[in-house]
Amino acid sequence: MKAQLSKEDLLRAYRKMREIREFEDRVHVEFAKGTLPGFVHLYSGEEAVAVGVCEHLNDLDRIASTHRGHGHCIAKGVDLVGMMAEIYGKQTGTCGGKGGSMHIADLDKGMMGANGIVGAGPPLVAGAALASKLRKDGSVGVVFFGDGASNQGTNFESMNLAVTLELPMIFVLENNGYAESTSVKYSAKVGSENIADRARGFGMPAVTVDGNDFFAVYEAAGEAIERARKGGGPTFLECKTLRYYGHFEGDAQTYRPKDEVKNARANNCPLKRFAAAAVEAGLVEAAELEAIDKDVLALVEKAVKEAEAAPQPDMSALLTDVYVSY
Amino acid sequence: MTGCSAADISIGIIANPASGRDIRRLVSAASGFTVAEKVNIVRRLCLGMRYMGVSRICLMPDLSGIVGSLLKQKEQGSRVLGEHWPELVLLDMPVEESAVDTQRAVEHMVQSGVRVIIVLGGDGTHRLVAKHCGSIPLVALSTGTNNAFPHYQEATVAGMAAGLVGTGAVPICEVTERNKVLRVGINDARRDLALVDLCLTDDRWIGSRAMWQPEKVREIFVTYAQADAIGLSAVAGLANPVSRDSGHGLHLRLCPPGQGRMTLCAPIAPGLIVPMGIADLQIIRPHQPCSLTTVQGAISLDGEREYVFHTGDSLRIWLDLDGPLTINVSRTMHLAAERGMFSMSSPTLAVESSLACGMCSVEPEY
Repeated sequence: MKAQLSKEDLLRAYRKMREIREFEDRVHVEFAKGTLPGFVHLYSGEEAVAVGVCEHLNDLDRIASTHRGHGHCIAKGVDLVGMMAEIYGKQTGTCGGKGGSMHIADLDKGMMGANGIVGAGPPLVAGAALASKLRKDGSVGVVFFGDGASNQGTNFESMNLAVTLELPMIFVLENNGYAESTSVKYSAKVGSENIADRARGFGMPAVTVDGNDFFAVYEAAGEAIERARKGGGPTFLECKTLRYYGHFEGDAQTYRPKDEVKNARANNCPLKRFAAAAVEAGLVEAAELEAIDKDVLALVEKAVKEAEAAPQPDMSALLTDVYVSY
Repeated sequence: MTGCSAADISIGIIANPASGRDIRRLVSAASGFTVAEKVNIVRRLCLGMRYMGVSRICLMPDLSGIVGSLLKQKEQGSRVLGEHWPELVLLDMPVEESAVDTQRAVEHMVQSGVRVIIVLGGDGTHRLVAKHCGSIPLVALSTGTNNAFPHYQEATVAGMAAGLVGTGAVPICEVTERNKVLRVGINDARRDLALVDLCLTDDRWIGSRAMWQPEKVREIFVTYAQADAIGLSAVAGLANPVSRDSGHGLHLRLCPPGQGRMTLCAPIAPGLIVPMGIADLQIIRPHQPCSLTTVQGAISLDGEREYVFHTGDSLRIWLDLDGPLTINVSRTMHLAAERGMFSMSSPTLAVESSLACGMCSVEPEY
């Protein structure tokens, strides 16, 4: 892991986080306007997790995501313009407009896919990590999953498999406090709401970090990924964070304290914290971050315009990409 | 007991739910304490204190399940095993799941007049408590990673010792020790303290807080340094041990291994023994500002990065002798035993006869 992040590193990380935030906030607006088909689950508020982890990855490394997958896609390098078109269900989308929000995948970028099934990612990444191990190419597999998925049998089986086979795999638990509408204080209570405690029982290193602090996630993920690349086996990384929107768009969120999101946006925003720390330390200029903000805003606007203008998938594509021959 | 009825006596427990989970579990062989284990420890503390006549325990509320599980254990222990528990009082305070919880809890405990505060956590947790506990003595128990300040101690016995001091059966003055502290001020504002070690590092952000990369450490200041310590104070402890009760500390300037005055291998985290180069070391006298060479970086207090400072900031570090009081558990138990306080006929044991019978295989003589 790099001892210190360069200015270039910092600006790239900030841009990724800003891209996720702008993208999600715009999807929120477009969904409310009724212009988007299907269902969306937004990642705003959790940017530091995806970016803090993916900044250590390359295209050979594979990740699997969740129903809340836009942030992971962007952090892993999937084209934002193509993603927007995909969510619009257009031919120019990342998956030809046939996957939509919950099935965006880009194997060239090592993004194995968002996934509508809770807890589906861990076994997929266990397989990818096994492939990495057999190929001996130094790549790793990273699975992002939530506190709700942490209770799924697929997750426990995958943790057991990863430890048994010493897979180069990192379990990144995004503990955003709610399994759909159920508080983690109730849903994940096996002796503790600190779910990392459970993973430790499987015999792998398990740590808990502030998931709203890019630097904390970056440091811990860097150590975990480096360890996996060197053959040190799996690691469990619990990142405590908060989603700013509902479980899905349209969720009335009656299960949350009234000012929870308002307070988090004001006092614990990952982007604000990143900017404050980097600027105060003299590592970047505030003006440089503002320039990125403007740039990203224009990029997202372009993505929406292009998505709106793009054609629908052709009927002839209906049966393509359904099955794959190996 | 010395003039106190059992109803008067309350003792506070700070059990940090976050201790034992930091990045050192990943980069070294550090062990971790689960919430379930912390609950067991608090349970044993409560039973030990109740046995010595403590009637009420003030607890810091938490959202991690420590208090919730403890209340279940109390109900089950009382009903199924016939255990005798003190009253458990939850402090009326908001819970933010951050260091401010510990601060608030200690302030509440001080206001409510607890006689002793038992702390479960690492050096960092004890540091937070020390900032706000005033003259209330602490029983310092380790559940953290790189701990030099608190000790591993069986909780039942630690609870009994806390009870002996809290009830006045053993005078505070006989078994407590005053600790040193390192104070740090940034730009002439007194900001914080460290109980064991204060380090200046190359880090430009707080990040995951814990310090584990030796190449980033530029200067180490210690209140004391034991050769058998774990953590950054071990570097000083192996170079030039300084006892906990001495009147001075130590300041080390580091350099790359192989350069400077000496290079030694120090256990800076469990299982992590690394070469450390020492350019210079100096005794620190109380109240005298230390001479610093690092102009920007992060300030690590008792193993955790807490502040970032920049070129142009005015940084002051000095040693004080007015740190928290800690109870020597071993000495407390030894004195109480010498004075016959554990005899079933001793008035010190303010326990019901049914409890005494249940705890002793021999029918007590009254």
